[in-house]
Amino acid sequence: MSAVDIINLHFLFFGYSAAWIIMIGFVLLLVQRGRRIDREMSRLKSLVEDKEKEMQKRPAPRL
Amino acid sequence: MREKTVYTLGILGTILLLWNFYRIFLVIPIDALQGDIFRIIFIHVPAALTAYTFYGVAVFASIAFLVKKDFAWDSMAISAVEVGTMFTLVNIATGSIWGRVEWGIWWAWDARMTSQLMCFLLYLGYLLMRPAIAEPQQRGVMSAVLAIFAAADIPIVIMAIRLHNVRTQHPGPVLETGGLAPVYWPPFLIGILSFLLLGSAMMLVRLHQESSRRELDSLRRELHAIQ
Repeated sequence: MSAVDIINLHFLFFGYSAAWIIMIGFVLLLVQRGRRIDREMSRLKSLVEDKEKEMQKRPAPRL
Repeated sequence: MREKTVYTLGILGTILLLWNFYRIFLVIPIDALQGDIFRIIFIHVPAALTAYTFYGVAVFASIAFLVKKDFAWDSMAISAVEVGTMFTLVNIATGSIWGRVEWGIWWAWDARMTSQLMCFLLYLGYLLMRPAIAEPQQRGVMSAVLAIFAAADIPIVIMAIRLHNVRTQHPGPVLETGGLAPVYWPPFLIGILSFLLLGSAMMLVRLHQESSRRELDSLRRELHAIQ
């Protein structure tokens, strides 16, 4: 195998590695974003529930 | 149902991609002139065609949003643009690496490459612009207009190597002129199919995240109303 062939193979490896890194990076970004949304969702849902319970406990205003 | 579809598309796309890699590296013969670096075409071109497909989806969804003002279309547009931009980056990165071997330079400011870079930057601008607009209706309209406007660059990218009066270093069109040997067609087409399947899985995940984000916004409004 000549030096040119070896350089060719190196750059081919770089090319396919770059494609994999970009795609896997994007998937990881999606996973991270999904987790952040889920965390925020459960936090807000429990906050809303707490506030609603608090509202129910309050005595009705006298007329 | 949605999760099942995502997993099915993702697993099918990955299996096809890995099987295609086996064929690309171990079955098909190397190109007589370019040698092994030629094999990069099976990831470089399918990435571009997949990106254009998703940009097409984004344009369709953007038009639908402008007509119907339904935020489900806006979610579809942003999801498609994000996946399309990722595949454009794959296309640019692999093309640059191929150019380093064949031309001896990482980048040539020729018509095809510059217009493709513009396409990437326009859609990157779309993604960066969205969080800067707080009002959802205004954000949707502005994004839709930009998505349609940016898509005008795609015919320029395609035509850049076909027009006679445009100087370009990029190889000429081989797909429709019969320049691609029959033995190279199956891995080429399977490459496109696997990217489309993987991209669709990613887009579905992103679509779900957008609907969750809208739900988050309504929860925030509800909380604000209670307080």
